Amino acid sequence: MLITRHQTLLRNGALALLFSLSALVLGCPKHEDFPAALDLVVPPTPDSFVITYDGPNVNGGFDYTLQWAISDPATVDRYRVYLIGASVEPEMVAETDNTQLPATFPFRITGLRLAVSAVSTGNVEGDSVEKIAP
Amino acid sequence: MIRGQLKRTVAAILAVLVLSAGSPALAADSVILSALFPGLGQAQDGHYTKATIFASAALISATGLFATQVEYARSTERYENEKRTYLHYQDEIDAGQVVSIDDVNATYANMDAAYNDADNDEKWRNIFLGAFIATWSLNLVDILLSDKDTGEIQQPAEPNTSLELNSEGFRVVRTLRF
Repeated sequence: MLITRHQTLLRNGALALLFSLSALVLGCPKHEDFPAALDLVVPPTPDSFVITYDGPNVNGGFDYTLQWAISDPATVDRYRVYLIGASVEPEMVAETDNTQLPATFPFRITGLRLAVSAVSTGNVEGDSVEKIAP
Repeated sequence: MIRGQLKRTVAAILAVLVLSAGSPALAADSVILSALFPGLGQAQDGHYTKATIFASAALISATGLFATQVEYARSTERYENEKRTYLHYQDEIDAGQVVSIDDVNATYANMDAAYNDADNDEKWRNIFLGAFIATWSLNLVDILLSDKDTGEIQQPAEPNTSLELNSEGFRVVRTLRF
């Protein structure tokens, strides 16, 4: 039987299509092995956060006292204090082991927000609590 | 394991098709043409309506298969990226770095959503794959069971009994064939 050019073209095109589809279906990775949740030590969120303005100091700075409470101190390694609103990203201003922190700023931070969060003994930082400075 | 066997089977089928298609003796065979793409063999045999139906169904399912496979690959890649990020948190913790629980939870939520998307996309991919395989199989069954349409019109069989009228009356003729 005479094989026309048209038939050859059709045959090769069909073969290419079949190859492409097979390669596409078999060559792509599957989504599998959903991982188990990480074993994290999540610290509690500090509460009763209070910012007190203590007035200017002799060096020209402005003194504040920050205080907070924690429900389960056993899982907490340290606390982080952030200043929010002074720059685009929250800026960490201090790390402490205590639930009270005297802080000195070069300017009055009235209206800016301060946040405190706990870091667990398992190196996980928990949710923060925020307060507007007086 | 099963996936590896499937790959080998498909590769073997494709190899047979390539060898068959390359053979001049078999290249024009309508079964080979239909095995390569549904409807081609039927068209070769002159069954143009069936050829159109099979080719259209195959084209639609192949297009759907292509589109859903691309979408599935995309969501799988997104899931793998989220999973990698999520598991990397453990490495950071083990290395003594502090990770934020908000970041961990957000990544977990993204990973979960990406997994569900991939699940859904895989389901649609499988529907189109099934449709393509069904079309292909039906097309093969059809081409194997059908006769070639030669364009010849079948003449109606002559009746076995006929009535002949003449001047004296009529005569009933019964024809027997052996």
